[in-house]
Amino acid sequence: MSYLNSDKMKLKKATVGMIMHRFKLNKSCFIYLYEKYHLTFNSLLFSIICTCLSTHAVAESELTELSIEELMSRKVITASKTEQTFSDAAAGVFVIHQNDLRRSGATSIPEALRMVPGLQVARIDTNKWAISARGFNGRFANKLLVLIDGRAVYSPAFSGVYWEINDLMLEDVDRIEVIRGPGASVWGANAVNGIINVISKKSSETQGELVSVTAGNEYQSAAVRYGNKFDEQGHYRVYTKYFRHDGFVDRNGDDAEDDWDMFRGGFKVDWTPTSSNTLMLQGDVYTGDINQNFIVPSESSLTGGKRVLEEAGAYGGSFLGRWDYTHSLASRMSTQIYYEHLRRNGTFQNEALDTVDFDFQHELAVVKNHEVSWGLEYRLHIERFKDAEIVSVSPSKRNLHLISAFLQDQIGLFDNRLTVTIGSKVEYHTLSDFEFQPNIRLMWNASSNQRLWAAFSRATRTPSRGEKDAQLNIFGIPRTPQDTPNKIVLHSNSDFKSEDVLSYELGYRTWFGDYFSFDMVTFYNDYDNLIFAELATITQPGEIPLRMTNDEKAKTWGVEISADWRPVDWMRLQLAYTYLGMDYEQKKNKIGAVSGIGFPTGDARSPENQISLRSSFDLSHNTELDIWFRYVDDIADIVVVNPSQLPPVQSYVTVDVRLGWHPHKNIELAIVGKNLNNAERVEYLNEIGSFPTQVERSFYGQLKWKF
Amino acid sequence: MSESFYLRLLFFFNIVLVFLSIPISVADIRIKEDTLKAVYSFKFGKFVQWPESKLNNSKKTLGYCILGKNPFTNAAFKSIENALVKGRKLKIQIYSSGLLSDDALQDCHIVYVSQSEKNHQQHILAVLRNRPILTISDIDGFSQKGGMITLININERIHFEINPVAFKRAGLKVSSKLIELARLVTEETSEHKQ
Repeated sequence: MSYLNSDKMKLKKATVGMIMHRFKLNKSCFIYLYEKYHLTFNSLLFSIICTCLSTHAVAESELTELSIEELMSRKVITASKTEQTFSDAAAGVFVIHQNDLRRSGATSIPEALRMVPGLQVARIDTNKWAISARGFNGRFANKLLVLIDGRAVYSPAFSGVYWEINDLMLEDVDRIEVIRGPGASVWGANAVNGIINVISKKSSETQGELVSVTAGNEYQSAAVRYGNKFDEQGHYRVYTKYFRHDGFVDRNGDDAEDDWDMFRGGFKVDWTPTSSNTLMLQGDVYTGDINQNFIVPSESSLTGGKRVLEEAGAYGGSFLGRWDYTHSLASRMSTQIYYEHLRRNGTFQNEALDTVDFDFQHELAVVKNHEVSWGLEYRLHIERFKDAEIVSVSPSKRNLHLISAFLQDQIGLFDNRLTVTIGSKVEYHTLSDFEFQPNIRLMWNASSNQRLWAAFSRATRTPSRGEKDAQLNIFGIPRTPQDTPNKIVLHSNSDFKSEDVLSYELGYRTWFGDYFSFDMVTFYNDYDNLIFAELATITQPGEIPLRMTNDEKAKTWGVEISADWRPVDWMRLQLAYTYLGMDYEQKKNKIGAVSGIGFPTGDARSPENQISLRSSFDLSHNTELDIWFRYVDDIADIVVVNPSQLPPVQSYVTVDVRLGWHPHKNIELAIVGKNLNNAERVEYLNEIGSFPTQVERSFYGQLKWKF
Repeated sequence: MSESFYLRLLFFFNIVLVFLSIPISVADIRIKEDTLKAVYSFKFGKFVQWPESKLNNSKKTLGYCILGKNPFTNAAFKSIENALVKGRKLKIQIYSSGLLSDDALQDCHIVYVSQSEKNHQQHILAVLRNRPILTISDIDGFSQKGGMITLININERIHFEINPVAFKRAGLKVSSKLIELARLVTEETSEHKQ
């Protein structure tokens, strides 16, 4: 390493000084660079970054010397704030803010989730999604809990989430928080691999009228919202939304006829009658006609199943009330109750579900450096089935009870340099038994802008009705031509236990001001009692019986990275990278490892590598350009039992572009093109009765008008 | 190649990038809003006199407690973290959940109420009402509700409002100089419901 002689150093400092003076730039970054050069010489990259960043920084150290009058005369930059809400959470957390949602061009929540590291998001057809965290994906991905404003939308029938019926006006979404990894000690059941928490705006933030109209080749929608005040401290909003989605195409490029539409409406009331009480009420209803395809076993054909194209109905609604009470600065509690009704009919299932849930949580800071929280929850599912062609359930009606309690303490040690969170949840469910789900998390404030954390947790996944009580008729072709193609019947298992995982996580994050942040999480998960399909004794000719068991083991590991960089005020780059590795312990006499409601599948139901890069540009004060690039690895050996020799799901690269324009502060116009580079692709295959469809290229224009 | 060559290259890169970034970044030398707010709240400490009892019963630090989600970026913190107020080192504590035990409150001389606690502000103020703690916030109308100082953004400059009654009630003395520069506000007469 050479050492700069002092003359050279002075000269360079002087030159830099002149430039900085000329352009009124901040010196700290340059001086830092020049003083460090002889120490860290190979820092070309660093210097480039630093140069760009220096335009943001101001010599802070001098500010404290200024008088109040001088402070009052300084102009400020009101930064477009990058929220760092979670920089102190000892967990892998990613937040989609309203702005990310708006600029992504997404017309539904699942589409926006594609930007989140650690999530697997794939579209099965226009109205079905496979979404999971850290693997085990499927239409009935069962290890991910989804909450919408505190209401769990996880289905007890087959586990997983019916994404198509869980929608709201996207303009009213405040943020979507995605927490990867077990969150079982505080959150509801089945938060095994992650939690998605959709939080809508307070009604005080959605006052006035908003009209949003979208028209495109694949998607058309219209939505209206109206918000107003009542009393001094009360606000409300009502909305209604209609959309329809065109069908995708099948593997031959013909219309798959899986178009669908949905109409929904709802309201939200926020009222603060006194300074220590807040009440929130909300409700919504929806009805939709969903065209879908299934391949069902055919009596007449041994070589192929029968395609059923049907119009399935889905309708329902929910009502939720929450009371937040602040008892003192050191204590507050929240009580919530909700009711939900859901109906769904069709070839696959004929299901009616009523849910009542009561939830109480109390947070208190009793002594210095301790934050204790505890809670109780009771949930009742009343579930009824009628026999459908694919699924029949016995007993057809059953009441499921879930009772759980949690206790957690967050302890600040060494002057809050280290935070230890320790807690556990105890849960009882009709279909399982008592489950103990502890976790311990450590967060080390390595410096004012660096965090290092580690966590160890255990979580369990409750069996579903499908696994305990159902019989499923699937059509399948065995892998070798010698075997007879036949009807496959999957029988449930009343001895089915909860699946469980031991999870080890390690994370690091750092940030510089609000222009750069970096977050990395690695994990190792050790699963036991996983669901598996076992070949049972053949009793009826022409029928292959499978029986669900759950003594399968698996291990997964992965790396999740997100980085967010704003080199200049008008440009932002957001990167997400996901690596997921998986190892199943294969047992003989088993058809294959399974996930979801338990269908024999191959090892890898999730892509190994995924990249998302979002580039946002503010072309002028009222024009925005967003380019979203994504790469998703192939999914090898997705389904073993399937209607015909389906090709594996191939890797793909896709680009979405959005151009937005605000001719007036209350008007927003946008044109969006999705999947621009790639005409058609299969992203995923349904576990049962798959009829593969291809995602198409699409365009739409959008108008939003506030008044 | 000599190291000075690399140095020149590096230097060249820097200059090019500086020029590239000029048109969009330098209209005026400006400070980030949150940084200025942080500096302000530190400055206020110099103009406020706490009762001896409050200063005696704690360590040789001046507790600066942020209630709610941290509104300041790292740069803002850097500007005040080693600052001295009345010969005492500023000790910044963030209570991001908005929960603050009585115990911890003993060590707070300044409480900065973050925007995230907007809905709880009346409640917070009711608790802090008679305590010798300087309350600052940038929530609109904070001083009208009983807070001592509210930072407000008027035409891209940060001004502040003072509620003298709140100071008096809490037993804090505020310098006349600060009063002169501030916009004075009176409390809303509506009763504080509990």
